[in-house]
Amino acid sequence: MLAINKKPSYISPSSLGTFYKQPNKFYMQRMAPNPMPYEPQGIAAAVGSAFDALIKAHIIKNSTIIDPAHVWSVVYNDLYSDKQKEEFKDLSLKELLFMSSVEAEHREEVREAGNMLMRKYINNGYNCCLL
Amino acid sequence: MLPFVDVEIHRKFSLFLPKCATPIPIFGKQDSAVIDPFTDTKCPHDWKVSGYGNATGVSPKPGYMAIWKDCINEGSHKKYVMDIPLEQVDPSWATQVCTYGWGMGIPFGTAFPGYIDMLAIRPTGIRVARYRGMITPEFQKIVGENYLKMWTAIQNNSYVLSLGENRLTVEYLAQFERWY
Repeated sequence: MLAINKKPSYISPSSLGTFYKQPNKFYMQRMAPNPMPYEPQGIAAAVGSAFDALIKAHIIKNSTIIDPAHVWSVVYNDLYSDKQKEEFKDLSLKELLFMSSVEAEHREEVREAGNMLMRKYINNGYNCCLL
Repeated sequence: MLPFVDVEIHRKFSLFLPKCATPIPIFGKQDSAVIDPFTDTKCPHDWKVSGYGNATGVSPKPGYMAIWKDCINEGSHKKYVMDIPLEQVDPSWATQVCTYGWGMGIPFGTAFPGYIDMLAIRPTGIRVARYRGMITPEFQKIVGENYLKMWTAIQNNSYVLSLGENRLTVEYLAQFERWY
């Protein structure tokens, strides 16, 4: 039998997809000794993450019910490494959302694209009546 | 305006399925939650951005409730009906929203709505398609069973036993596995 370094303590919607559609990759990334590294974020995914971060920051800024300090601590406490925790500890919520979800190599390149998508979204959907 | 009530929700919870003694530990990072004006209940919402960097771009998936371009609502898709099951739009979206709904405390087997806003990018412009679909009890049962099968197979090693016999083979095969 293949060696098992560790078994996942939680499963998620994305790991469910990987497990059934990419079973060998799931083992190599999640359970194998010396696991295979995760693929780096592509530019399209980075743009999507930039948009996500910026629109969330916009919503929080304009909300009277969402507590920015709570969201900040949720994101900060989920940071993967101590190095990131040290690097990001003084960031504003908007920057923390952005930096924690967009990989370093893409940050400069995708910030404007994320902003452009957010402006488009605000005028198309976000600010429109849901019904 | 969309009635957002929460964003960036990270949650760990145990999924309890009927007639099953094993709780399944689940972790989800949910984009946001909105109040559904049709039912006046809190439900999951997610964003999808698609088509960036693609020469031809992408079209919105069929089944949207509304679509906007240049600040104009162009109406709903011909396949849209009130309470369309979200899995008819996209099963992976529905799986995600289903999981987040459980994490929000919606009981397993109770139908609930979920929202997706898709930004569909094309060289000619960007459209925002809004999907409102139901997570049906039948679909929840399928998703719950998939989680249970996965969790059980990991715990009893049947999953690892189903793979190749040695690491080299598995590593080789993993390189060619794609989502689609």
